[in-house]
Amino acid sequence: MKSINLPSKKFFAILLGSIFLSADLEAGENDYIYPNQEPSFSNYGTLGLFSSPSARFLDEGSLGFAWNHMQPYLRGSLIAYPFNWLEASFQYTDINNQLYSEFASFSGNQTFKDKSFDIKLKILNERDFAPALAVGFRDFAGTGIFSSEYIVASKKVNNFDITFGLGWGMLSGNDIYNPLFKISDDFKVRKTVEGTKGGELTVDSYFSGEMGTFGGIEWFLPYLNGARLKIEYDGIDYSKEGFPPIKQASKFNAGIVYPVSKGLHLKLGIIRGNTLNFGFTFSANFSKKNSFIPKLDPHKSVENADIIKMINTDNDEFLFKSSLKFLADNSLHVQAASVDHDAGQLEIAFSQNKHASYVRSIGRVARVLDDIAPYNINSFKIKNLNADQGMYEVEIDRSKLQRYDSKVIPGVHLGLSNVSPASHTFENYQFQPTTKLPRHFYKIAPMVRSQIGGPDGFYFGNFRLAFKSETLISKNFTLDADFSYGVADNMGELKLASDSILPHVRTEIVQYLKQGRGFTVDAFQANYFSSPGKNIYTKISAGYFEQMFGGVGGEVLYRPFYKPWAVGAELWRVKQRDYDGSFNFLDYQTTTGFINFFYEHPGSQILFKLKGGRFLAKDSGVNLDLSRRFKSGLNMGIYFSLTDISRDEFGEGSFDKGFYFFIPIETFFSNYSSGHTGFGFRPVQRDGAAVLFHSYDLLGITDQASYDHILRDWDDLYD
Amino acid sequence: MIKRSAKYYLIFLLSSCSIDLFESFAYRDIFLFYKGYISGFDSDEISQEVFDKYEYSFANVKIGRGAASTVVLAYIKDGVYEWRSNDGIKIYTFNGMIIKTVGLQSDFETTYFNILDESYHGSEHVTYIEFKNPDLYRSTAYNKVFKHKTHTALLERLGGQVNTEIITHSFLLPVIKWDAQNKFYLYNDSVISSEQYVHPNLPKIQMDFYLK
Repeated sequence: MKSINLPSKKFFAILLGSIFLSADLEAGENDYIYPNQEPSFSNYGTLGLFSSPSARFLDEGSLGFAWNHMQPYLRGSLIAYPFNWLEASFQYTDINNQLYSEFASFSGNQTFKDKSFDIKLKILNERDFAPALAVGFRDFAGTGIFSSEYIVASKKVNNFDITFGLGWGMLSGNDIYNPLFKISDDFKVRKTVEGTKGGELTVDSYFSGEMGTFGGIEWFLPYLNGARLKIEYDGIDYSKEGFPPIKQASKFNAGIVYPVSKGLHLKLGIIRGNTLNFGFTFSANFSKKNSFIPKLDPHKSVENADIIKMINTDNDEFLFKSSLKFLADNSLHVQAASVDHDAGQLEIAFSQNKHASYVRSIGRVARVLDDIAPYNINSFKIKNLNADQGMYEVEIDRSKLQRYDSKVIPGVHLGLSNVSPASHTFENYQFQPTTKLPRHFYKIAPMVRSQIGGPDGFYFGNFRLAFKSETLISKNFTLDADFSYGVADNMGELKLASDSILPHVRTEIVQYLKQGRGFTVDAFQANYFSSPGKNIYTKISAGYFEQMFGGVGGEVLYRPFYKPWAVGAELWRVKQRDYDGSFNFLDYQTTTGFINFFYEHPGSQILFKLKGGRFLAKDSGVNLDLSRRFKSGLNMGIYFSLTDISRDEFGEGSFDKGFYFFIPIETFFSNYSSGHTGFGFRPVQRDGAAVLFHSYDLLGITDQASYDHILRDWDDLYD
Repeated sequence: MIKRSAKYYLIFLLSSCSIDLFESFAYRDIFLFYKGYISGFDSDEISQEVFDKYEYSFANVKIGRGAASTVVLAYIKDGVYEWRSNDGIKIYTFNGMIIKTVGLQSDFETTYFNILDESYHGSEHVTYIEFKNPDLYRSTAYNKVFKHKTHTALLERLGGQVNTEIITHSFLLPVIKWDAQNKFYLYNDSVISSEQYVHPNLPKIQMDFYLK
């Protein structure tokens, strides 16, 4: 056994004493003297000091990006906080003391690239006399060259944030006795998985082998916008991490972090006593309603409403046509209308694509109708349609709508009394505006097709102009046609061929990128939607679904309106498309299909999706996807698949997995809109567990056909 | 168009080593947004026609580089004007000086004095300030007001230009070491425009008054 090298006793005495004999920073003056006290990020992407993680977490719904440079590493990190107790991050590291491979003909002089996932879980919140406590795993499903486990405590004491932890794996540089040795001999040796292709969970090795200490302080400086000095006792074992040798002249790292704003931090430091470290991080919370940019898109009252009400009083035709006009002015499209004067009810069926919040669209419809409907109308029945299928129906009492108008009593809203599922037949309506069909929507926009981090080079890009169109042949029958044309690219230098022993359903990406540099048909797909029974939705599609596959198939979904779950099935007969993006096909064809189960917990809005069946490469298994939606519409999720192929057959990465997040576009603008932008990452795209991508999946199309989804946004009624 | 949920199909586009950055944003909007964000949004210039349209007194408020918005005079009590926006923000002024805000990201309230009263000019005097988010209770502020005798400013006003006198108001909160200088532009002995700092977490507030 190696000799035990403890850091000085004085160092630990100060750290531990401070942790347990302390009080929180006082609010008030201190918040102004030390503003921007948000915790800062370490060089490993997660919150911490330089090399050490801390027990700090950002609020749930936060996203962060970190960029750090310290020889021999250049690291970019994406960090997400789906819960207050969970920090999940992805790291992409350029390691410049190692070549990508030893074969110049394969990877030239490109340096090594490593992708890794980290996760940290909160154990205890910080209290007056107790520190926050967390447990974490670094590089737990990657190549393992940074893999570590740790338990860490953090405590704020006046303007100091003190961190102390115990680490295993690469964080065992300051070796102390591992008490787990007494529990089992299995902890004495840190195992590696034989024949690993990377990307596996090496559970057997966790908390085993040598154990070490790490720690340090963040010292907040007064009147400097929250700037803090960081001093750290480095716990990394540089004889093991990455590709040794890395020289360490000192165990102490030091530097300064300067918050330009609450979310943007700049960092400069010296690590290992011989290496300059600099970087920046940006983080923000995207979870709250209108938290980023205040909305300047209120409901605009109809001008001369009293006159319009009078005109509409004795003429239903005027009432319907004015509803059509004034709702269309608000991007709300009347599909049908009826009035029942005996019951004093005006009924409107509408569709819309502007508001991400279904309740906001209900509120906008109701307020326009309130402006123009004659006084003898006491209630509005508002029905939403999507793809010509009824989604939900809401009955709103007009007097309550007026009484609780947010301008009069802020924060008071209508009750959820009359929300119900909607079936729809046009014959039941007195007013059925004709829509000129076919109707065509299109847009032309730039796009970039990229290949990042392959052995041929770090970045390959193809700048393209895309034409995207949707033609409504009937209201439930659409034709999507997406084309693009490459303007400039450097894809010609790509040469990595697929090494997969499975059918090459995804790994011929290089061929698609190289041969699809000019004009390509990205999608050409016809879709037919119907609702053959209560809560049952179907879709049949045919055409070129995506870059790599085309064919024919369909989907059926049973989604009970009042239930948080849905079940469905899909079946597709597809053929692999030619690499050049033309209408031609290659020889490979298959049948793929799944039984799908969805459950969304109404309180936490965690959506659990389980997909079981046959994948594109003819492997069978399951795909599990867990995601959480926040009030703003921000969505974060992780997924993985397990199929009946071995890790050798799967290849690098061992099994399919990844994460993603989506942010509503309206987050960044002062106007409401329904689109999302996002980022998804899959460490390595292999052929195993590959699924077909067909636009308009039924779970998305019927998103508003759910009582819980109306309930969750009810406070948007007066937005 | 058929409304669909983006989250179920975008994954493929952005996954793996290969990434397609599709046009989720409307690029024109992005350009305008970031242009505004970087270089600042234009102030709403109030023309005579717009001025005539308003039934009541109003003010044009611009916070930092943000877009300008309008607040309408709701009440006057003991010389304190209460201005309200349609999204619930209230700004209280006394002779053009902002003395209280409600509904901003960080609010404040201060004891106040008449900046137009020349007996205050040139001398140092004390007020007390409270901040919200984060809270700071009744802290002492030292103030100095100075009216420029020779220096004037030309301001755009209702389609024309007016020559205004300038009052500067400097203050210091020693407890948090925060100081700033506010400017008030006078025309016919009343403040028609001001540039003020009210909270260390907020950028400069420009407020143009249109009284009826």
